[in-house]
Amino acid sequence: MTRKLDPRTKLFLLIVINVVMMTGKISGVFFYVRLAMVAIPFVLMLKNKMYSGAGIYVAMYTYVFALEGYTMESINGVLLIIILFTTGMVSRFLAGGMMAYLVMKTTTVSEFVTAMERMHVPKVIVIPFAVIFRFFPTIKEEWQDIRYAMKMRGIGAGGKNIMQTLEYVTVPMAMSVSKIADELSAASMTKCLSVDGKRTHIAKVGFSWPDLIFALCAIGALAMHIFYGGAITG
Amino acid sequence: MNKRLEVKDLINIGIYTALHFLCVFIIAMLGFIPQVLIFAGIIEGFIGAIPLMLFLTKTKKPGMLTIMGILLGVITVIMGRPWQSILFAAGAGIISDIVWKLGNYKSPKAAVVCCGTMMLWMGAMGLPLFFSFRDNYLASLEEGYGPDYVEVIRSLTPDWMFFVMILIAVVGGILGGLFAKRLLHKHFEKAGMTE
Amino acid sequence: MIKFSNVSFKYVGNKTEKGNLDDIDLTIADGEFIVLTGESGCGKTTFTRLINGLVPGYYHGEVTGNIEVNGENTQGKSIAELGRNIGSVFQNPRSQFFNVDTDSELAFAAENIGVDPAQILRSMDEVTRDLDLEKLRKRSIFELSGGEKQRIACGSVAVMHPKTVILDEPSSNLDRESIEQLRTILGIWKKEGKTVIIAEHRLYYLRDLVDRLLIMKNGKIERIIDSDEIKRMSADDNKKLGIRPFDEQEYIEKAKRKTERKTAGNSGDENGKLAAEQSGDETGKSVAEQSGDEIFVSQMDYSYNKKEQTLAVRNLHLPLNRVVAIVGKNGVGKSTLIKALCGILKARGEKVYLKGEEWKSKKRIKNCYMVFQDVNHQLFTDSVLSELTIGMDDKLSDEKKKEEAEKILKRLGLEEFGESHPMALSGGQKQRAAIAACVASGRDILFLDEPTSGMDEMNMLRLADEMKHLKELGKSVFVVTHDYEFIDECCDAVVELK
Repeated sequence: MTRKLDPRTKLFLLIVINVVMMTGKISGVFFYVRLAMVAIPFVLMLKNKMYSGAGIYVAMYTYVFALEGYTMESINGVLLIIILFTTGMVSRFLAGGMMAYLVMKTTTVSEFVTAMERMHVPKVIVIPFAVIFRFFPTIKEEWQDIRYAMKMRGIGAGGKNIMQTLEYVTVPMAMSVSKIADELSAASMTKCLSVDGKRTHIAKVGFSWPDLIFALCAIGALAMHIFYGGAITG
Repeated sequence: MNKRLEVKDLINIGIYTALHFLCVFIIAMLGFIPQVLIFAGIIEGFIGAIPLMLFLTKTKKPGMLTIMGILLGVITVIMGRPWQSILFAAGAGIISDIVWKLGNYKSPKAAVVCCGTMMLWMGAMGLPLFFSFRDNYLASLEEGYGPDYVEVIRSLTPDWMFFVMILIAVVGGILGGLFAKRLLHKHFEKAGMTE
Repeated sequence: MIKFSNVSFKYVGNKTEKGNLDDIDLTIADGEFIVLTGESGCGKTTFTRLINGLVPGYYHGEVTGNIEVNGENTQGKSIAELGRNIGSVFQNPRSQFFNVDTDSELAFAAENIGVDPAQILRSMDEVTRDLDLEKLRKRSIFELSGGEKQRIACGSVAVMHPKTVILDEPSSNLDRESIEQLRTILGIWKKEGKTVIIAEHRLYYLRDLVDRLLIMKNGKIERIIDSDEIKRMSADDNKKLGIRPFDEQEYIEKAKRKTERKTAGNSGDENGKLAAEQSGDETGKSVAEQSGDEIFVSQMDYSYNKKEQTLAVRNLHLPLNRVVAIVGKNGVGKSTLIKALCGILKARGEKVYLKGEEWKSKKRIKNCYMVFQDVNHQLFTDSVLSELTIGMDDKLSDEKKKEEAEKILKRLGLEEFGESHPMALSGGQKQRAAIAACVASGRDILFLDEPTSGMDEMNMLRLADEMKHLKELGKSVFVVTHDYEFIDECCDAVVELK
């Protein structure tokens, strides 16, 4: 499998995984539907050589599914609720979260923009969306640096005065974010980015047979979900 | 001044939407515990309002908040919420756009109100718990988690609770807006960031 | 040809009497290599922005006079239109990329104007070959070093085959090796006959390239020096003009003498790139005694990810009560080392001794202070003055604090800005404000990460004086730097990391 999945396929998979995992039924045949959803990020992780990540991912799901099965049969009351909340949280969010991470990691901004423009999304949506995409890792870097600075000044994240702490996070964050916004805009403009110009793309975006397989799998799950799962529809 | 959206505006929309979403999302993760679920809204609103306030200092044109709303809606749908979420979030954006325009893109009062109205998009996040989505959702939960769990959720979330939840988020937004305004006054005006 | 006729400019926010550019008259011929220099705020950046259209298209203000680029008046042209023939490289490698991967960024500008994809790819391959970017293709921007990012920035400009390239302080965040690579790229552009215009403080890497050097002051071109004269200029001549030297060799030699290579510390383990090179100081005192006035790091390991070990220090001696320069190539772990020394990074298996006594990271963090390379994250408060007083000894009275803070600000040339908000300061002023806060903290061991990046001559000298002053007060200062003129001014010892 040398071809990358099309960004549109990846987004579709992400939506279906989230719908099924968050709002779908979980017992009977739907256990297998969920299993299929859990498997999608796993396969993609293997494809991207994230072996240790994939291992942890599988271990967590095995644990959570086993715990759910066990507690349902043998525990009642408050303890059950507490356990179900924790396991529910993991089983619901992990697959979707992993998939979201994979979409971000394996899709370049330019592929993403290309795919969106193929869907005739207007530029006023495409450009900010692409920026969101680019900006998450930047926020992570900024947050890290602010943490260092706070640590050195002896300001803890959960300090005594929460409002003060909030201020000490907000001010440097605002300062550097607005600087980045400013410089990024200036640089993009000198690189001829404009709201109305027609762009070309070097990114090779398109559907091929892996897209088909994944999409069929997701469509199947979604159909099950809609017609037999009885839960919300898309 | 030119009212058409420029590259700079679009980049600002992207950056502050990312920041706002992340603030809300991190706190929403805590909201899966039912007793907290309802009140998480107030903290989400409070923290989320800070980047919103920063964004408003850069927003001088119509449509920017609407685009922010649409983007927040799209992210919500990607996260598995019903597609109607987009309408909800876009609505929040449109209302905020109107409020901000009425405030001539500079009134501090309007900015605080905007922080509240923008938080209406949180309705999209809670949508599966209510209305026609509700019974299906709870049924699916019951099958998996048993009646005890669902009873807790059900008792906490009658339909009118939907509006209470949104209201709480809006109140959180306004409080956060007020806090951010204080910061803004202290820091940003002094720094010459607002004109 | 670029022609400025009686050009003046004033930014919208500028409330002072004088404009930011004042009556500039200048003609730049095709293929000419122009360097603009002068102290911070002299108008050199504004000058470059007038050419690429960022002024007044993005940074608004009032322009008078006439600017022609290649025979066409720039007025009324959008930045994007001008961008077809004018490439721009900026100071901050962190914020000038729209994309997250290098290939997309290389293609970005060409895609934006709708060039045929096949042609873009051809052009990218040419540029990759010409500028030697092979190793940087198909990479994530976030894993590149500052120097690598700057090369991609140059590459993304080159793909458009612009006639003119504008660079605004491109070397500020780079180390010597990266600057060398930047020089190579600039040399290629000169040979290709591109018009190159650079606003820059650091001049040594431009000596053989520059055709005309413009020294600016208060928005005017104060002096124009041609290439023949530049070739004859000595370091002293530069000092008299108040500009950075063309020739740093002399300073490098001197620094080398300060790096006495005594018994070398053990090298790192096999995959560790770093081993500390032993240094002495000018008194020639032995620093090998663990009980002496020194910080002794017997062991310190750190890695950001599983793949690569950033830090593997064994037996590193750092003299106290001195100004010590820490030098070494990019990526060798200098910044990581001082972050770990100061206790904000938790290193593995660390053993650090101060005067023979073990110092845990919790204790170090209370007694050390670090000024980061990007100071935007370390200014928290609403005025420069309170930025200083907030960290001062609580026992002091408020008046005393204020008095002390004002003294420090004065020494660093910030006396006018005590009441200003840190956010309203320029980049260089922010940097000095952060350093002032560091001095005010009263802590004994101070670390500075590249404090002179983007600093003009005058401020660099001020900072050097401040370093000497700190030493007199009995503080220990460690400076990660590759600024040899600065090392020559104030550092007593040099530690080279390998």
